[in-house]
Amino acid sequence: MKRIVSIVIILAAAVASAADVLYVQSLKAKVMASPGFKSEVKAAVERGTELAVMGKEGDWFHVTTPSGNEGWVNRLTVSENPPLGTVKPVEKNTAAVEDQSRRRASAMTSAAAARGLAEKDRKRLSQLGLADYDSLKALEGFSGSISGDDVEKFVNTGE
Amino acid sequence: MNRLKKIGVILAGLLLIAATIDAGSARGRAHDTKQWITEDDVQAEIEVGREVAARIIGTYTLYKNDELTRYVNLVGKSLARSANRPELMFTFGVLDTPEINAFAAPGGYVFITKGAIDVMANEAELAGVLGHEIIHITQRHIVRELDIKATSKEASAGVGRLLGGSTDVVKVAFTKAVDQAVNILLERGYQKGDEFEADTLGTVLSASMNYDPHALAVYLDHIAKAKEAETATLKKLHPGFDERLQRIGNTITRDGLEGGKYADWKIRFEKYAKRKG
Repeated sequence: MKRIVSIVIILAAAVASAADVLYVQSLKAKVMASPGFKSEVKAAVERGTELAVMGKEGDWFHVTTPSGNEGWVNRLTVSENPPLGTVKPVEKNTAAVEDQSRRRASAMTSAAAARGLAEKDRKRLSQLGLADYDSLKALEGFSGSISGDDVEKFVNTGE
Repeated sequence: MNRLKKIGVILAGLLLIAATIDAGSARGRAHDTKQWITEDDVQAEIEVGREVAARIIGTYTLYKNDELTRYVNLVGKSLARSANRPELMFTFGVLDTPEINAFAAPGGYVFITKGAIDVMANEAELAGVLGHEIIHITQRHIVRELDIKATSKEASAGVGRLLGGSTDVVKVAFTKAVDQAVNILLERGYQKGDEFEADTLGTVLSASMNYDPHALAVYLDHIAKAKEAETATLKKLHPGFDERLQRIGNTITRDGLEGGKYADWKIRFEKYAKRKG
């Protein structure tokens, strides 16, 4: 009897705790004293920080940080899954392609297959002027050459 | 009696678990962050988004100006790092058309027209528009609507059909998702609620980088006064300005964005955006 009660309580607690955690996704997130940016900033938490959720009001979550700070974060900065590493397009993701044979059937294999299959269509679309893959590739290269340090410098020095 | 007690406890326990699950999922729905995604889901999103981006460039052509493109990328990337999709490599491009508009393709591809930049007065307005587009991506508006993900329990669900299917099925599902996304961006427009969310969260995003939160509203005012030929598509694809302005205003008040120390970076904007050639 006691065993059944214990199992029920453990299961309920596990489900409850799974739903009550958020992770910081933005570079930094401000933890405010009340739901709004006008209130006092109680803490700034880094990307990946796990926050215990106690409630919600509008776009704001009432949370506790690992160091025990209690406050409010905007939903813009958090989500329920831990932050993923940078995901690149398949053709740029050499390591992932090499690893492909060992992976389960995935979007990567599917998308790669789709790309291979779509080569004729791509050529046709390009010839008709309906798509421009070369310009896209050049833009990706140009944009990708702008580093995190460049962005940091732009934000901090205005250059 | 003992057996009845046991059954009662088990039933009560099951009810407790069911209630907990329901409360949890209700919180999840309220969160609007319930978007547990895997690396494979993101990969699928990017591949569809790249095709959509190529179609957008094919439709409009890129504006060839490295200084302006770099500047737009710096403003956009500085905003994107404050949002909740760190796994995406955001790419920003300028489209060579006098038409006033901006587009966001899944996976992190954002385009703004030269016509839109030309009606702007400062960087805060640019940040307002880029913030709006970034939110379409971070909130996965098209991805959710078209159910673009790596795996799906529903065999018929969007790109989920890519998995385990024949090569023809892969091709059909992939092409269909791309066509539908292009249709949303160029013909039908986002769902109204998604546009409002992009306005309000985009305003919060740009304000979080110390840009004037009123700038998006000012930009909408510029559009209202622009030539009909340059704004016809944008007006067709978006909700009415009055409703958008009201919701942006409500967000500024509700989230305490009024009265902060904001900058418009007008001089820096003019250096890059108003230069000819």
